[in-house]
Amino acid sequence: MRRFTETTRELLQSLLPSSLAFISASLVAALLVSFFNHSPILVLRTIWEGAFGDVYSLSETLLKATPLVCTGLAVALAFRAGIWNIGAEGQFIVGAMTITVFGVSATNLFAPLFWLIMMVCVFLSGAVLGMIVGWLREKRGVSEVISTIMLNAIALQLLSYALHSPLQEIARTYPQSDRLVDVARLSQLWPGTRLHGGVIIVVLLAISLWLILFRLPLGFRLRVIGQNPRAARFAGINVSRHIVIALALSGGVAAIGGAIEVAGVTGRLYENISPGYGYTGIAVAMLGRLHPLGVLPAAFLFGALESGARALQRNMGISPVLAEVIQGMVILFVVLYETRWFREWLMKYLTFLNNDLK
Amino acid sequence: MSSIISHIRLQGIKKHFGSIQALGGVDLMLQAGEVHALLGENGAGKSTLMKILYGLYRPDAGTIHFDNHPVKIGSAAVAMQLGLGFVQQHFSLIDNLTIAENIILGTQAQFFYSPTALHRQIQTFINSNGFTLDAGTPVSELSVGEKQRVEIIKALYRQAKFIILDEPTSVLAPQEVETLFATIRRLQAEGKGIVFITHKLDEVLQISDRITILRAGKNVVTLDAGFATAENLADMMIGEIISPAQSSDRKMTGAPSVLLKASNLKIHNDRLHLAVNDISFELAAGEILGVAGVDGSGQRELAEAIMGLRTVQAGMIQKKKTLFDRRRLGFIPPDRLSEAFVPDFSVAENFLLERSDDHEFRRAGFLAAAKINGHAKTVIENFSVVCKGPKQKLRELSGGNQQKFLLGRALSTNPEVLVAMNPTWGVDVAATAAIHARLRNMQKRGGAILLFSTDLEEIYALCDRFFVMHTGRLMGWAIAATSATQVGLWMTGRPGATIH
Repeated sequence: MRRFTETTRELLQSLLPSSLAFISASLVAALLVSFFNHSPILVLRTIWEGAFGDVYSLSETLLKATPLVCTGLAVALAFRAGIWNIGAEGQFIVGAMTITVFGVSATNLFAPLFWLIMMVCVFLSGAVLGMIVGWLREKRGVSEVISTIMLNAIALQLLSYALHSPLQEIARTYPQSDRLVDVARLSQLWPGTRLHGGVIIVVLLAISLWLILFRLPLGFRLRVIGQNPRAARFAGINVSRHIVIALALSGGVAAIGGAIEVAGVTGRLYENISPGYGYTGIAVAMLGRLHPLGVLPAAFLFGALESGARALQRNMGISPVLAEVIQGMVILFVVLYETRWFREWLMKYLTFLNNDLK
Repeated sequence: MSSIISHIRLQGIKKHFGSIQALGGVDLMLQAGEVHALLGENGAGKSTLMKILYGLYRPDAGTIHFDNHPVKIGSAAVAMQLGLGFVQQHFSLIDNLTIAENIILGTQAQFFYSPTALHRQIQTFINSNGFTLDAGTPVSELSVGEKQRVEIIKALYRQAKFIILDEPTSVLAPQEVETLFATIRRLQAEGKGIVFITHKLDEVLQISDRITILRAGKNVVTLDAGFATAENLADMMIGEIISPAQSSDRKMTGAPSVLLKASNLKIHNDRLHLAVNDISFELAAGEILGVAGVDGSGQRELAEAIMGLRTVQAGMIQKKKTLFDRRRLGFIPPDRLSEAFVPDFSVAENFLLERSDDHEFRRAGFLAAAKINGHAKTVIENFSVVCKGPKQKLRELSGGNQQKFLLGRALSTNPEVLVAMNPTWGVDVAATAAIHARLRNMQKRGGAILLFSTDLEEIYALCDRFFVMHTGRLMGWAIAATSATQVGLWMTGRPGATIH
């Protein structure tokens, strides 16, 4: 129990700069809208109401946060092992495609077994994509940043192709798939909202990844590699193998995010199934301080921004792009608050205040 | 004033790093038109002294005079203005820029420049200084020797009157050394002062006019090259070594069993040059076998190959079967913070580093934190590591305590063989004594230690026998009775009579 409270305290402490960054970004955004003759207070209130105002807004916030948890976890996990996985976007798309393949081919299989096989295949599809990146990096020296960006483009084109021929709806009208059969869908969690069981899955996923990273020998080795690959090699750890494992896990988790989005929200595959969840995931991971449990509140905040921005558009006619502006600024502020310069300044300021009060 | 300096005088320079004294009051006199060799073992303080002169470190005490004017050199920029140039071992060139661009870097305030005009101008400068390099070549296409020449031209372009060369030959092939020496002689003829940092005796005798020998942060002597011989230089560089008494009363019980055998090893370094060239030895139970030599003689590559971290080009390493288990074959890497530890992890996590596979530290597949902490604590207590406990970050421990913990970690599995590289590097006297006692203890229990050390005193104090490496070759075998002069000659690349 004591260890658990310690973990919580450490996590809260490490999330402090993130919280400060979020508040700062919101304030700057409010200032920004005031130049366009909107009341900043009204704008912030609308965002707040739109994100947390009632049960429905809250459910929408959670709904938007769900895919971001997956991509955020994927990026955070890889980063802990010292790898920049920019490919969560492509892995997300591949996961969405895999579940569609299963979901549109009706089956009489026993539902739980069907689900298990389906999700294992989804995970594997993303894992394979990740392993390609790992193999290219370790055997051919290709930077993972380059290969993941390239694989994102490939995944996107593959999706487009799939929706124009093999996976396209029987009616052949739009570039979209048929609806998934009911057994492949995620059940509604709260009547009257769009909230689905995927929310629970991603929370469990976050907890599992936390256990893997901080409680299992495998995760320990991944963190050692992320912090000091040379020491890892000298300690007899097979660095290449672990890099491939990390990318496989990372890709698998991102793919599950794509599957959940199709099974829980859209019900069928579209070309724009991901409005850049993979890239936003990088921001979520950073805001969550690359900690699996920190990713949860970070994704929640970004989800709130998304649903708040919708309210902004509905009620005040302000473009939802504002949400993206805030997201961008959050990252800038996190980076700023991370600098030694800022910390030293803060310390000086705090001691100054302290002496002053005495 | 830079155009008129004829001499630089450093007096009573002192410098501490933490509890380690790097320089304890060093005097040095540099003259224009003179090649001054600065000779000493690793850690003698040569580089530190020059970094102080060049404004990279601040001295704790002491004065620097340029032609009897006292100067304060607070930064490299000031040093350059005063007419100093410093060619460090690691070049500060930008690969993607051309030679000319590298040379003017930091000297021109212009926002735009014409590459053709620049290249023409710098080409003239290069030629007028007697070099043959094409100013338009990107630095990435140059050989190591050529890069070094660019560094020297860079210093000349900044109107350096005194140029410091930090171990300039250590990166060069033999024929490149000749070119460098020709360059040095030309610069000398032009009235430049040259400081030549090295630990190679032959080079010192070949090129220098005056020689200053540093040992353990003090200057032993400054003498004219005419008075120097390889023997007296080696003697003064290494100093008196008192062979410890206990080396004689070590008991050898029965025929010792060989645990590790290397035969005719050839090993490449990272640049694919031969770093270990035809080395053979046997390591038996109950002995401490030393490997002496100046830093970079191939010790790292040899140790890594033994640990299975580097492939062998030719020859063979035979190990006793049990030694393929890392717990039976302990390792102390040379650079603790970058190779042995994850500095931002806790002491306990660093304890786990080599043993994350060990089932002893698992419970139902999960890491057994209590057990890991307990073991880490045992090491902390047994090796009197000063720290707040297993949860403190390793980075926060002092160097000596990190090193004690490193040794404790390696010995915690009770290994049969320990490969230790500079186990007391950067460690104070008390911790050194504690570490030496532990190593002797391991030997008494029948363990074998392969001790790589650049500190000859340590080798003499601990080893039954040792061999000396120089540029990857085994120069000779020595025992406690072998004279330090002989060993010093081997270390600096001079073969002598084998006494063994």
